[in-house]
Amino acid sequence: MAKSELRGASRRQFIQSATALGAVLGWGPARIKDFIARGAGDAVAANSASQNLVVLHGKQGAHGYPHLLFPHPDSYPNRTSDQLCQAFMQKTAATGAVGNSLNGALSGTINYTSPPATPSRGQLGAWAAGDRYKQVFGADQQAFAGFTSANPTSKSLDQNYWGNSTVPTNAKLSKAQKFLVAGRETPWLDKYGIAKGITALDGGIINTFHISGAHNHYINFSRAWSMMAAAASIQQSTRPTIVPVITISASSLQDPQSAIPNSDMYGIQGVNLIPGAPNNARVASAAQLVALFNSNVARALGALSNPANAQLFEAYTKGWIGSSKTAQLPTFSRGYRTAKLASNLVGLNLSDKLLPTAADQARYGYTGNTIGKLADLRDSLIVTAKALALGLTSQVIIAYGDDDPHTLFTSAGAGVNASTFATAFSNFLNAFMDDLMQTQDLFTPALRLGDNTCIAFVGDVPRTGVSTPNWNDPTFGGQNRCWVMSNGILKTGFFGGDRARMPADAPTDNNQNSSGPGEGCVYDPVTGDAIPITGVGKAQGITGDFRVSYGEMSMAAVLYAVARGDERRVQDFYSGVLPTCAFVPQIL
Amino acid sequence: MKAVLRMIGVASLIGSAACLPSFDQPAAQNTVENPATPVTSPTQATGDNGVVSPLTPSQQTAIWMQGGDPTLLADRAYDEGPIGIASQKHSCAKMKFNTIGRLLTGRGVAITAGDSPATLPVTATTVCPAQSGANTQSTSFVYCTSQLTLGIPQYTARLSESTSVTSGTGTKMMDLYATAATEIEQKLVGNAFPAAATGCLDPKTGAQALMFNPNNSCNEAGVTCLQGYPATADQVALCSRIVTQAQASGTAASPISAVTAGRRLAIATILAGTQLCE
Repeated sequence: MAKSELRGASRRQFIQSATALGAVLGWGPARIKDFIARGAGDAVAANSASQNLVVLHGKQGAHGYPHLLFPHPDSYPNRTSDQLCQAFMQKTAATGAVGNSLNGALSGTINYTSPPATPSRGQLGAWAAGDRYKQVFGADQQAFAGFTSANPTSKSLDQNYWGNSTVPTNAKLSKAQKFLVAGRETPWLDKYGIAKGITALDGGIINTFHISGAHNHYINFSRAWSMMAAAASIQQSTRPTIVPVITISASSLQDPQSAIPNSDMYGIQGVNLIPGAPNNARVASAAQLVALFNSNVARALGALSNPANAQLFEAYTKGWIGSSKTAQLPTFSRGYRTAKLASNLVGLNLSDKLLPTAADQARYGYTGNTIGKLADLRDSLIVTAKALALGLTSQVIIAYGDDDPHTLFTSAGAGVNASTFATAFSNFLNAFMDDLMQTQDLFTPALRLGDNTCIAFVGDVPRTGVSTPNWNDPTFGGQNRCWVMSNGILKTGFFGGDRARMPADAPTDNNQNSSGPGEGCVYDPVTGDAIPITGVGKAQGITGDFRVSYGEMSMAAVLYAVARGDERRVQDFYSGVLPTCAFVPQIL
Repeated sequence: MKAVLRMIGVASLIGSAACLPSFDQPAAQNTVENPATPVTSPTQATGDNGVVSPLTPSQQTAIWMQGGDPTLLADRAYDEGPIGIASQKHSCAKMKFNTIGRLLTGRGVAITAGDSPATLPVTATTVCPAQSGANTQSTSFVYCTSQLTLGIPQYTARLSESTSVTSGTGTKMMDLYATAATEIEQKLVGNAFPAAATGCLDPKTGAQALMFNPNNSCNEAGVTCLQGYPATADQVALCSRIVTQAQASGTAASPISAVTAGRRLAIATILAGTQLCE
């Protein structure tokens, strides 16, 4: 944070000084407030900043893909095998270890039957031949902290690694002991470090009969209120944009198991939209998103449909503003500056600025279109980055995948195999972040856009991370998971989750009512320490099904990140227990 | 005694200002240094169009300090009156959503055509007109469907109407005004505002104000009506120049002549240049 900003201590000091000054001059409270408002009005208001939000919704069964990039650390380092659901743990072509360059269209594929040595590209350092993953120490949270396994093998493995059959609590573990696990495809860590480390929070229900919507996006399950609508409510007062929220999905996103069955994932006015939240503009594709930003007058028969007239409009509007008596007043400069930008934007055919170019696609690491789910995700992210950079929107929900990849860990995979998808997903997310980091945030100019854009992964079912055969859906407690990159507003690490009890832990079946493989935990909202899961929806010491309340809790955490640590704004929409264990306190 | 107190006040004021650590900062920068990330020069993603952003706290502070002697500032603050009044007199507060509706209605625009109910104010419960084809839409469509971007207050979410012009709001307001310009121009009766334009009575003649003269140059009464205060000779000349410089547009099936395009552009420019702030 720049030292010149009026925040925290400096802001308080300013207010104290102004109050002292007012007292000396004999001003009353109202006069002092007026004076402060003139001198630091926007500085005080700057505390109400919020982040952009990009939600990657794994449609149907696709919410398992984040496992490829963000593995649960607690299955590492002494419970590893090729049963873990990461491409980098696969050792044979038969289990999806060999990446396919898709006729040269996909760059950076890796053959994990024999991982090659690669030089250092950043903070993770070089990879030696045969290296499959790295432990990245310095995380804030260890999911299984405080956990005592009921399984003797697991217990002895904890004894071996942690020096105790009960994993030490988070309070006892230092940051140097807590870790994330990174593969070669794990995005952001290599270039930007642990500041862009992942936070994962378990909660929410799952459904093995896949749905188009998500199951873990509710900030209020009983009203079917979505976290995204709550975030949009916060954003519209702090980052007002032309189209506040956009969903990119070829079909509607619904949850038949919602408290309001088949209600829209984001929310629809009068049904399940948070009162006052902006409506969501749903477009079917990245191309339609581009069309969304064409201004009305730039369309055929509009006053500015001829670009020459649009230029004339811009020039003369600026001239007219300049002829105004108020043009020279400093207090008008901000509004007029914005007006001059608007006079330019309104006449633009924004499709030229938003459309993915061949150069963009090459930068995102996949130049083909044959694999539709990859091309769609790539183009959606490219257009999203451009729209965010231009300040056209504050939130984009991208439904991706739209598949049920039970066969991902086979040679051909579900269209593409594990290694191929992991490479593509990684390429896209890295390039997306690079784009955002090249741009200054229009609404919080002290930050780069990438440092003020929260990226969350939600979906129908996260699938198991423990066992690859048939890549079954059920997790140990039937619980969902949200992965979120919060830009340091949330603690890095995993809150709850599943781990293998031993190397090559046995698979279970795909029955939606049965427990998944391994062992699992949720977390204490205050300490973050593990609370053992004892069955589907059951956890030790928790009455009733824990999944709904933990689902809401995970969304409260995402909302906290969007609100840049303003708990009060979170509590406008969420009335449950706050997961303060995941919060990094912010000076407001 | 009063003089002594005043001296103490002035001395304290200067001292206090000198002690404010955040006031002596350098001018705002265009780039952001983030030591936590690799050194890359932040540039705009599209590489064009200077972006306009809200002022940073440091910019605010710098601007505030550029006002000069703190005693003079304090004196001015005393003279300007309560902030509720001063802010309206001395800043660009966004024109309210309802005011925009009334303004355009007063200029002859059917701002609620196709809406239900067909009266102002347009609210969150208003049923907006349906989109018609792929070409440019009506003013009432843009006004109603863009209500959130135009800043309609969200009372149910405990949000009052935004008072600042953001890039999103500003763009949509200009979109609306330029759309309305076509409708206003189409409804002119003998180059004069129609009777429905109740805000455009020419006080000099007692008749509806003329927007354009027979030779398509702008008429002072019309410019005055659109901007809401007396037009200067320079502004009338500026308006006339727009009419002559526009180019023909439209489609092969529905061509728009250069003069017609110019007349619409002139109206759009005046509205956009003057009706953003209250």
